[in-house]
Amino acid sequence: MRDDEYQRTARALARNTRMSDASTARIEQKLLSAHREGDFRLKSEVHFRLPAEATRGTAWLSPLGGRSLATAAAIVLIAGCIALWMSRTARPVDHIPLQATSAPNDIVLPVAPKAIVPTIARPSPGRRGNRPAPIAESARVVTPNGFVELPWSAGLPAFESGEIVRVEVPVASLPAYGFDVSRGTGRNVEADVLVGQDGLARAMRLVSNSARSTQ
Amino acid sequence: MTDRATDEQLLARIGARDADALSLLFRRRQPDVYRIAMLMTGSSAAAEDVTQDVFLAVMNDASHFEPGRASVTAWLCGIARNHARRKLERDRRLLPLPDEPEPGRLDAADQADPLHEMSSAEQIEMLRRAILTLPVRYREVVVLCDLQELSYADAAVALECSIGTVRSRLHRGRALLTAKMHAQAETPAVAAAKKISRCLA
Repeated sequence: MRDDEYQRTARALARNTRMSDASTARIEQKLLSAHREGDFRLKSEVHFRLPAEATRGTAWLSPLGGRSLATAAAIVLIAGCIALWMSRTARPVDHIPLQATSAPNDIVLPVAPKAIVPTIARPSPGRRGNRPAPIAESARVVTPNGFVELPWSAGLPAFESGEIVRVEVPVASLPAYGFDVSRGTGRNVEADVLVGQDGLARAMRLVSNSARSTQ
Repeated sequence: MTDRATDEQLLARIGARDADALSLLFRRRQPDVYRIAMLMTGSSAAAEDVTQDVFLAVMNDASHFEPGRASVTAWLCGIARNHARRKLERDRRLLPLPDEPEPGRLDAADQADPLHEMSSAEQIEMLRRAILTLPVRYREVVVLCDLQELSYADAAVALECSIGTVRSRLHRGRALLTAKMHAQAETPAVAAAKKISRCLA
């Protein structure tokens, strides 16, 4: 078919494609009836916006806008995953496995918590990938009342409020909390754990015999 | 309400809940909307549904039209195209019954010569069938540019794409259409028409 023949046939097809008069009248009546009643329930969910409007965020109302909607959903999903990943990597450890106990009187304190440990052992080394890198020695804080900041607490939200929990911990696990232990690793020792508003431990201090006796 | 009111004025009045304006715009623009719907879906029933939906959408969204950004025709064609595509998606699993060509719908000029009329009707029907076999993305651009005779700019607005995309799709759509028309050219009906033509010559 030649070009001019195609154009002529296309125009003829366009002219011949029209609605019957009966259908035209019927639809017009339906429209006017809906208009009178203010009833737009038949209104399709399909909308159309000009491109400039579409850039203002309404293009996804159109059927093809489903692609935009899917893109937006994917972006939100990816952002959520990134936020989740970041929050998980910022979390130092799960709850410290400490048990609150009563305070026995005959426990000997192996080492006083006076020094900051140069190398910090971390609990559960198999899960290291989810935890922050060991904090620098200079970042460790020893508070005036003897609390030593736990190695992984740097990534936690700022301490606002909390409570001190008296617990008994194995001496062997103390290096993981930043305490140097040179002897008595087979025993347990009492410690005060400073637990923040979020339930996560921030700092720890070992309980001396004298302190225990006054409490 | 006069017939001389522009489409933009009618839309503004429809936005103010003027029933006469709705009626006037419907009578003026329903052929365009129906044509797009019919050539996109290939079914008169579906095309009527789409036409109704388009004007219901106009009733509700008339105030959203911004004059100067695009013509009312382009805006309506865009709505019609979206509704037709939605209808196609919805009815994809249904097997369509093709509408019979309506022999009484030929121009007076064509009807003067029975042989010309028959040949022309065949060609028109062949083109209609070929358009319906095009992929939707090419079908809609062929319908809007070649049958609805929208400008490239208006077609780009209706199709929510760039003018360059309209051009490339139209080029590809016409090429596909030509190939399909050639493939159809030797169908029995056309062959018979040619034979009759030769006998009468």
